[in-house]
Amino acid sequence: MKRLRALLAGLLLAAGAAGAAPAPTASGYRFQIVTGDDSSLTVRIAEDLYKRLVPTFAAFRTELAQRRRLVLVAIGPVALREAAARRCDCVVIAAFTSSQVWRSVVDALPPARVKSMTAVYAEPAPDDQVRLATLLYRRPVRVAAILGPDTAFLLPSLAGQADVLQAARGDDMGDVLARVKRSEVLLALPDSAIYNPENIRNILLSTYRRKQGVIGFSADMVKVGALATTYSEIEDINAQVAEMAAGFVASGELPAPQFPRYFRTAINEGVARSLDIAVTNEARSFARARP
Amino acid sequence: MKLRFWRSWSIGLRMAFITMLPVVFLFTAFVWYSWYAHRAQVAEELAERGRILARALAETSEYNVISGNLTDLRLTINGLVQSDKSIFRVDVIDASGKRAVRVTSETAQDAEPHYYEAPIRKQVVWINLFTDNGTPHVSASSDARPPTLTTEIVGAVQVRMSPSNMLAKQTRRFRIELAMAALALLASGILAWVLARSLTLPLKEAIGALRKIRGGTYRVDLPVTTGGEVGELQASIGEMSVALEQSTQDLENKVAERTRDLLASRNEALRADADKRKLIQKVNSIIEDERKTIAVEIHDELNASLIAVRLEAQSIGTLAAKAQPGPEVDEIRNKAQAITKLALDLYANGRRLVRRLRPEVLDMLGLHGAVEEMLRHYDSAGCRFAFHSDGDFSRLGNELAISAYRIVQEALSNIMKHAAATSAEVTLVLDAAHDLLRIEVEDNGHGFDPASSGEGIGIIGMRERVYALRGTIAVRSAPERGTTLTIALPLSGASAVS
Repeated sequence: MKRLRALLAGLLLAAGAAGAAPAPTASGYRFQIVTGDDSSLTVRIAEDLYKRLVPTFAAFRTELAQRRRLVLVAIGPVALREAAARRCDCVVIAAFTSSQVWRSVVDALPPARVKSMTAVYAEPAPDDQVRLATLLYRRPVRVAAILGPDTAFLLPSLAGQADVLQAARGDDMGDVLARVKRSEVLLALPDSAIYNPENIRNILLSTYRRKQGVIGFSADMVKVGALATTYSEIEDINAQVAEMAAGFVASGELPAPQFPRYFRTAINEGVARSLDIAVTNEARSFARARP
Repeated sequence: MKLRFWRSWSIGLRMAFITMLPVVFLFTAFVWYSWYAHRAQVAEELAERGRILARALAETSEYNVISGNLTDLRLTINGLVQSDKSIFRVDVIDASGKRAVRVTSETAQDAEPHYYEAPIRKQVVWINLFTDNGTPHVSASSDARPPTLTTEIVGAVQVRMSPSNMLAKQTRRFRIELAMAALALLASGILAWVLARSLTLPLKEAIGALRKIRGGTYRVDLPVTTGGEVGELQASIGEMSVALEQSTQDLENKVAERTRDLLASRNEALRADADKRKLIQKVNSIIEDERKTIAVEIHDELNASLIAVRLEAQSIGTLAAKAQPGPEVDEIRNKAQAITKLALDLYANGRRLVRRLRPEVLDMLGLHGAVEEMLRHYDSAGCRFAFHSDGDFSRLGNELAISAYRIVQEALSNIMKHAAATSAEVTLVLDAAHDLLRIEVEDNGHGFDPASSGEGIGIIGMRERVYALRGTIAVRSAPERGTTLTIALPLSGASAVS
């Protein structure tokens, strides 16, 4: 905790920021990284993010920092809630938070406040996932996605790419999975109403028995039995956040929330063999590297 | 209590016992341990397999129990149960405790009383579901340690094992081990027998050689066939045999030499003995002859003279009777009467002397009559004598009769002098069958202790007479128990000596 507080103090000092004293007129920007915990992961994210944000905000003179507009970068759901709850003339860029949580947070905020907030979602972009499935099967495949109440907002983005099945909280997963048995690939999305630690194994087993590959939403999920996923390293997300912040500083406009732009691919070769999928190097190297 | 039952065992048996005892102990221990180990192995393996099987089935049954797809599960378990004969029955119990699946083996015979149960747990796999749990959502692999998640039990698998198949396998192995152990035991037995024989055979040969030596065959051929102590024993016996033979030869030579000396001495003694007997016989004969001569002289000369003196004295008395009475004539008549009486006394003494010197009664009445006469002579109010006789004494030689007469005479004299007996018994038996004259004189007098009392002249004289005639004499007596004198004289003894 001491380490993290020292880091945050350093960040504010280096950026010439002082959140406690808002400037009467904005003539520039300063940033603040908001964290929700002091875990090593958070510290690592914060340190990397600081390095990437400093060049953007270093052009502003320190003595003018008091009057500049504040950019809050929230790392994780807790930090997002904290940043959203602040009453300040600031914009919020949320990172390392899933789209589901983002939605749940912003749905509770006034629209005006929401306008000053944007996000880089934590989970991979469905487009990239579908593209990965195509690369794995080396042909267009029938992809199914099960959306719960909290992920129903993704329906438009999945339209045309996947057979979307909407399920309610408490539905029997066996029945739900039986309804998508004609699909070759199940696109898993982070939705606690659908996927949880108790049923994830049986979902993987059920799909495996039906010769269905599961495209997960994290590298950890691939480790426990999903066929493949695209995933973004911390640096990939931080780079995208930095780019987003730089765009905001340059234009004063916040982009819409977006899925990770930079990613790489993780494939469970054993699962692939079991599903008689010959993994190509093209699939293995499917990625979008950060500049 | 001391165990000594083995003391009568032979060396071979002891050797075999010593060799075999540890082997038998080892064999017994091995067989027991092997049987116990096989049984224990069956129990442990069954338990282990049962546990593993239950656990593995519990792991694999989770999906089927949760999904309700029990047909697949039954098929899977059935294949397992029918392929493994050590499984008796598998039951799958659902979360409500109801039996969802039961598969029983078609081949397993019996079930052990214990069953192995494993809970079917809903297996929870932790992944970051990007929920609103506070931590940043990262799609890349995280090094974060997954939290501990509680699992739910959705059922149980019960496996009941059958020991018969595994027991049969272990029994087969045990039999092979038993056969091998028995072979080892047999080999040990044969080895023990060979070892014992290698010891007993030389020992038997040694004992045989010693027996020959004990039987007098000192020269034995006992080759040294083995080493060690037994070999030393064989060598020692061989050396002893040679030494004994040499020693025996020396001894035999000495004995032969000594025997020759002894033979010479014996012959000399025999000759001396014969001479002594002859001498005694001769002395007795001379004494008897001299006595006879003296008796004849007394009878013929002295007694005749005394008769003449008596007659003359009687004549004097007759003449005196015819003469004028007077004191002188009375005195002459009295003197003549005194001379007559004195002559008669002397004559009587002479007669007694003659009878003692030469018992003519022996010539007249024979030994039987002479002894009878002698007893009558000795019989008195103080001691009563009885006489028994058996046999024909007429063919007795003169010398034997005289000796027997003298012996009886000496015996009766001793009774009268020393025994103070009130009765005595004399027995004469002519034992023609054994060619012996048996004399027994028994009295009821004081008796004496033969061990402490020295022999008197009378007994010594009797012994000499008996010795001269090659007879035997025995004196049995005890204080206040009387005395018995037993003499046996060979009928041919006197003539042989003479």
